[in-house]
This record gives sequence, structure tokens and C-alpha cells, in this order.
Amino acid sequence: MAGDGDDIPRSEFGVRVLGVRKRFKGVTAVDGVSVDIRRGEFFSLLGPSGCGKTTLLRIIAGLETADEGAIVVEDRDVTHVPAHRRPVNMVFQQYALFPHLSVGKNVAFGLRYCGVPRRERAARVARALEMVQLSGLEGRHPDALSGGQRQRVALARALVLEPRVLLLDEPLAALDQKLRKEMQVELKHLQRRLGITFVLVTHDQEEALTMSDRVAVMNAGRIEQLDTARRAFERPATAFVADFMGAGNFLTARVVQRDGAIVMVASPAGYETVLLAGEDVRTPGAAVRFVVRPERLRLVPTEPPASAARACMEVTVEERLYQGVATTWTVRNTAGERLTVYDPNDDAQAAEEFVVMGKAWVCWDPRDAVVV
Amino acid sequence: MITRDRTTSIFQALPLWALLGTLLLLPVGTLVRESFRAPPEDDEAADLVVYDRAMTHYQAAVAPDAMKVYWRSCWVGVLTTALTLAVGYPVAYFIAIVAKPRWRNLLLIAVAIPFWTSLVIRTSAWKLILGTGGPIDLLSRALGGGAFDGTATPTAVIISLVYCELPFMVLPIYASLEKLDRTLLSAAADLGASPGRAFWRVTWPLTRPGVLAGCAIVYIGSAGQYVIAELMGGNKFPLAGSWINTYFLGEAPNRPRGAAVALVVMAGVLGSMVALGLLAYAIGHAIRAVASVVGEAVSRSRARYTAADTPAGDVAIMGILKRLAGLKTMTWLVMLFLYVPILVLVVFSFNDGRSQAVWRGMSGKWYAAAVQNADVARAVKHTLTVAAGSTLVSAVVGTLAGLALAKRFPGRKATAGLIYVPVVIPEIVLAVALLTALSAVPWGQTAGGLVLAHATFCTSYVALVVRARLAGFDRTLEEAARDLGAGKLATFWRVKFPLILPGILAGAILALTVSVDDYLVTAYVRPVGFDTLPTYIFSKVKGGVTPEVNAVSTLMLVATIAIVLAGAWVGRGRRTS
Repeated sequence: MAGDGDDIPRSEFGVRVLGVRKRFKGVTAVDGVSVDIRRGEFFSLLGPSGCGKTTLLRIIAGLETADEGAIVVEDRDVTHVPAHRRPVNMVFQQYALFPHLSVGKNVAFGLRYCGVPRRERAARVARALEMVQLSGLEGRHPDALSGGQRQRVALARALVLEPRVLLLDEPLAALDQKLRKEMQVELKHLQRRLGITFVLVTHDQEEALTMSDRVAVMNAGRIEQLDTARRAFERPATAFVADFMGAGNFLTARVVQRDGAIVMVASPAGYETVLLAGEDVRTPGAAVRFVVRPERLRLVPTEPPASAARACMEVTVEERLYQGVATTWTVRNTAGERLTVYDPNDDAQAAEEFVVMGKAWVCWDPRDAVVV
Repeated sequence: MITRDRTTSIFQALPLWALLGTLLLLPVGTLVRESFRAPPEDDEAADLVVYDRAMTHYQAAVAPDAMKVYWRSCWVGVLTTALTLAVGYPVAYFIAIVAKPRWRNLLLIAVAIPFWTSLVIRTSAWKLILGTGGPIDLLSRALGGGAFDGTATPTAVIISLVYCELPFMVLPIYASLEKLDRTLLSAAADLGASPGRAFWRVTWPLTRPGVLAGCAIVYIGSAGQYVIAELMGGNKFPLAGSWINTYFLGEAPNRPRGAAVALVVMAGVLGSMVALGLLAYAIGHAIRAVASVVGEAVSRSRARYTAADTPAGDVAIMGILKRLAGLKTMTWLVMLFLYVPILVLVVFSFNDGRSQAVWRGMSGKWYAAAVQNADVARAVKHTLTVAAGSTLVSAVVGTLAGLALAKRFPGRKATAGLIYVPVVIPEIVLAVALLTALSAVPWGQTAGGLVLAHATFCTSYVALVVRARLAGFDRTLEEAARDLGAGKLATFWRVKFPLILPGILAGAILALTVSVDDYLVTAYVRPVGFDTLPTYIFSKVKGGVTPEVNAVSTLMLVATIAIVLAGAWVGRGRRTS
């Protein structure tokens, strides 16, 4: 698998999006986006509805034309190539199975445009169905299939054509929780086995985390962070990404001292800590905003002894939500900032120590703080 | 890629414009020009209404005597519309909301079947019932009350009109009701509305489009009426339609004057419809205002909750159940109303006697006679050839137009409006326009010309059905096909066409039956001596209904129903999502 550096030879790219811009009636859906997706990578476009991820996917598929910019699929400029001639196939959100054709005919649909002779088609269809664990269902009709089965047929129909790139438009959105989790794992294994580039669109950050090698978090037509899934989750680059990935505990403090890239900050909420800060917030007196993920905050009943290994502050407990696996606490510090603490229920009586409207202390490891 | 789609749509819409443009729009323009020409030399033979020959045609068209006729037609229109609405809405409501889903399709077909039979046949059934020798007459004589002939009365015309127009009111209202979200009614009940209130505040406003469509169709159909009045009462009860007819097919034709009258009538029908619509709107507002004031006063004097624990849902259900008894009975009565005349027609076709007036016992001889009758055979052949030709033309043109209308393109709104023109014009004006167009070309008044004339109004049906079918079409199926490698043509042929085929067939069957049943346009445009079944039956019934004609009518009825049921069966065969 290719490394993370920029010194990758050009032919290593599965899809290159170059400065693509798309407007719909005055609304800019995709605002000058550029991204290089590596060959054989499982890449996700992640973001809320309306951020432009589906539009971008459709532009790659050829179902929409960009107003500006180019699309290159494995060294071939396909910007002006119509959809039916691109080496790219898509799995649609509602599957788009042809209702008047059987499963077998659905899967075989595109084979005649690949130059596959008639005799071979049945074998290819059988192999594709086996790949998605639906062997033997050639004769069924789409309306006699369950949601999960339909999804697999849509997958088989696309994969039987052996595309260079597979595009998936929120493929798991219509499935129930349990099935979705199973399919996430299956898709990941499938991609590994086939070794082709997968580009997935989703609004579910957990899905992106489970399956992707890298992820592009999009907002209002732009990419806010392009990174491995893990880094987007643990070290969000912007406030939007932090909030979208569930890291929305925003804290603000003022710079007291600085030492190169490291600053010491203090807050009226009563804590002092050190942070790795960017260029623009290094001057003493400057306000720095940072986030700490809910599961990285620890709630303790009494003031812990001072230590360089952690930052602590006093809070009032506002709400408690028991959720089985964990308890989510909403607390507020003396500066009025509200935080969420995620506390796994891994010991029997810990949760009983805290009282709503009572006082407690919240601590975190300074290394878990991310400036946004 | 987007511009190419638009161009395709424009090309798809062109045939429709060519057909309707030359056969309808152009002729209406020609009518205008015609209405300013001088009358033919020899028009001494009396007009129906005597007036000064020096008057221009338009002056004649709006002379006081003319206005009387228009006023009468307007009243006929209003009465018919009101009656069909009063009867049709409850029936539609019953079928859409109260009846069990299993029965719905059956009930709809039952309401629609009379529509599929020729106007001429249906009217002759009523002429039979209300006239000499019919069941009422026979009964009256048997009871010693003397002869009974109710045919040449306004009541007879209205009854026949209601009979013929009822399906046109029920079906649009049913379509509106079917789309109604039932949970809205539950929500209304939950929020404190009684079933009656829920109807007025939720159901009625949401079904208004269907009601308006139904009223428009019925009003235009009945105000411009000609055939029924002619068959029933002849000249004793002239309506606007029959008046126009005298200028074109009467003994002393005066086409320019007829053109003027036709245009005035068309404008009048549409204008009066709009005026009446606005009047109804204003009245509705006034009623609502009064009702809310009264309602406020009443509810203030009454406690909000009566019995402490009747859940709102139960109240709604009980209310519906109470209405069920009334609605069901009404629907049954209407079904009887729709089918008894047909039954009577069939029964009387077995009358052994020659004349209608005397019942001589059962005999199938008229059927034998009908089958061997050379005139009948020829009429059947003509009917079928014309119908086949016009169905083919309208299927192609209509499908293309329906396809075009599914996408945006310049001229889309105009094309959508164009489809409705043949439906919105009173049929007599349509016939006059087609006659004007086709008599201007040497090949016009032939079987071929007749085919085109039929296609003019049949195409609209196909286009509307195909368009409706396409409305629910899943666009992503086309995208998936393109993604999988199919070009535009392959995508259409392998994906779109198979899925809209049931719609095309349904539209084609509709077009076929409308063409087979048509009387008026055929009467106007046909070459001399070229009879189709409806014109044959009309000429025979005018003099009086006889068992022989009844036999022919019954045969035609059976054939039409067979076609429709076959079509419905084919349509059910394929399930598409």
C-alpha cells in the first residue's frame, strides 16, 4: 500500500479530481475541489447532506458534467467522456435494479457492451453472484428480494464489468443497523480482495472509519480535511470537522507563554495546560480554541492533585444519560462552557458517585487536545 | 449533454404539434376567417330562427333569439354539473375511502364501462326507457294510465346527460381521493375535528382539484351538447350544439354563419365556465365566513369535551361507519342507474315484434338479421379500419409527446396545454374545425382523412396516460443503464420502453374505444355514404328505437367491453415497481 507522502509517481492514482466546480441554479454544489485518490485505495467522501459529496461522485461517474475542472481515471482524462464509456461503475443508493429483469439479467446487463461473448456471460454472472454470496439467485426478480439482497445484486452488477474504480453512493443507508455493520466489514474485505479503487459517499462517520483508508470531510462544496480516517477522527483540522466527528467539546483559553510551537494557555475556568498551536495563535494574550473528544475526558468526584500529565477543572454536572454501554454526562465549567463526557460503564459503582447539579472535576491528557 | 436532451424532447413533441396544429389550431383560425364571409347565395330556406338577412354573422350569433338558446345551454350545463357532482362525489368517496381495496378496481371498472360504450347507444337506451314501447310506457298502459312518452322533454335530456357524464365526474374525483393521505384524517380527529368538520377542512380542500377537473369536463360536455338533444327531442329543444349543427349539416347550410356561431359558442362555454367558477368560489368563501362565525358561537356555548374517554380515533371511525350505510346504498343505486338502461336495451333487443311499441315475446331473430345485414357489416368494417388507423397514429404521436413532456424543454408548457385543447373544446366545435380543415384539401374527406380526424382527439388520451405513467418513473434506472455501458438508444430500448409499454397499451386501448364510439366527428368528416357503427345506429335511432337497432347496439356493447377487459387483463399481467 502506498505511503502518505507526496512523492508518488502519477500512475499510482486511481482517480484524480482537478479543480472541479459545479453550480446548480446559483448554488455552488462543488466549489473548486481537488483530490487525488490512490489506486487500490478505499476512499470516502464524508459530510452532511448538501455538502456536495454526492454531486462530486456523480461527476466522477459521468452522470453530471462539471462546469470547471477535470477528472482523470488512471491516467486517462475522462472529463468529456460520456458515462457509458467510462471505466467506472456505480452502486446507487436505492440500488436502481431493473424491475422488469431477473437478477441474472440485471447482472448481465452491461456485459454486452464489454465485448463479452454470449457463451461466457452466464459464467461471469455466476462468479459475480458468488462474490457477493448470492449464488443461484439468477432467476429471482428484484421485488422478491430483501433490501440486503438487492444491495448485493447492485454490487454484483457493477463488479461483473471489472471496473477500474467502483463508486458507492450511500450504499448502506437503507439497511438496518445490524445488516449495515455486517456489510461494512464485507465491503472492506471485498475491496481488499479485488484490489480496485473504491470511492464511497456517506454521512455516517462510523461507516467511513470502519471501511476507509482515507477520508475527505466535506462541507459546503469544499474539502475541510483530507486525511486517514483515524487522524480525521482524533485530530480534526477545523471546528466543523471536530463537530461532525463528534468531538464538539470546544474550549477556549488564552496564551500565557510560548516556546516555539508549544504554548502554555490558561483559562478562567481554572486550568492551565500546554498545546501544540498553529502560527496564528502563538502570541501571548491570543485566544486559542481547542477540542477534546468526549471519551478522552475523565470525570472524577474530587479535586485531583496537580500534575503535569493532566489538565483539570471544576465543573457542575448538568445531565446524565445512561446508554447501556456507557454513560454520557453533560457538564459545565466555571467559564460557562458546556462539555460532553463519555464514560464507559466498565466498573460497577463509578456512575453512582456523581449527582446531577452537584460538583465534580474533569481531567484530560494534554496530548488529547487538538487546536481548531 | 443537457442541450442534447432538450433537442430530443423538441423533436418528440413535433409530431403532436404537426397533427394538432394543422387539424385543430389552423382550422379554428380558418373558422374565424370563414365567419366573416358572405353567406351562400341560396339561403332562402328558412333558418331555425328568423332574423334579418342583412345582419352580419356575428350580429346574428348574438341576437336575442340566439341568446335564449345559449342561456338554455348554460342552464343545462349547470344542472348537469350540479347533479353529477352531487351524485358522483359520494360514489367516488365510497370507492376510494370506504370500500375494501379488493373491490376498488372492480368498482372503478364498473363505473367506467358505460363510458366505453358509444354515446349513441347509451342515449338510445334512455330513449327506449322513456319513450313509446319502453318499460315505463308499458307499465303505464298496463296500469291503465295511458301511453307515456317522456322523450322530448328537458328532463329526458338532463337525465341522459347525467348518465353519460357521470363517469367523467367520478373518475377525476376518485383520482384526487386516492392520493389523499388517510393519516391526515386521523390527525384531524386527534386534534378535535368531528368527521363532518374533518371532511370540510381536510378532505374537501385537498380534493378540490379533482372536483374542478370533473366539473370542467362535465360542464363543457353538457353545455356544448348536441347529439343527446337531437336524439331525444329533435327540434323541440334546441341547444347551442344543435343550432350549430343546422348551419353545417342541416338542410340549408350556411357555413360562414355557422362558423361565427361556433366561435361564439366556444367562447361562451369557456367564458361562462370561468364565470361560474368564480361565482362558486365567491359563494364558497361567503359560506365559509358565515359558517365559521356560527360555528364559533355554537362551540363557545358548549363544553369542549363531552364524554370523558372516547378516544378521538374511535370517534372518527364511528363517524365513518355511520356514513358507510348511506354511501354504500347510494353507490348501489348509482350502479343500478348506470346499468339498468343497458340491461333494458339488451332485453328489448329480443323483442319478437317489429315495432318497439308492442312486446311480442322473446326472439333472437334480430341478432341473426344484424349479423347478415350488409349495411351493418360494412359499417363494422369501416369502424374497425378507421379505429385501427387512428389508434396507430395516436399511439405513436401520443407516446412521443408523453415522453417529451416528462422533461424540461422550451415549449413544454405550450405542449402540455396543446394536449388539452381537443378535450376542452366542445365536441361540436371540434367537429366543425376538423371539417373545415379537411374539406380544404382534396384528400381530406376520405377514410384516410377520417383516420387523421380521429387521431386528433385520440392522441391526447395516449399522451396523458403515457405522461402519467412516466411521472412515477425512476430516473436512476436510466442512469444505472448508462453507468453500465448502454448508450442512449440502448437505454431507451432495454429499460425505458419495456417499463412504459403497459402505459402505452393502456392509452392505445383507450384511444381505440374512443375512436370506435365516436359519432359527431365521424358524422361531419366522413365521405358521403361512409357509415361507421355509431353513425349507422344514430340514423336508425332517430326515427325511433327498434329491436333491430338494439341488437346491433348490444353486439357493439359486448365487443367494446371485451376489448376493455382484455386490455385491463393485459395491463395487470406485468408487475413493475
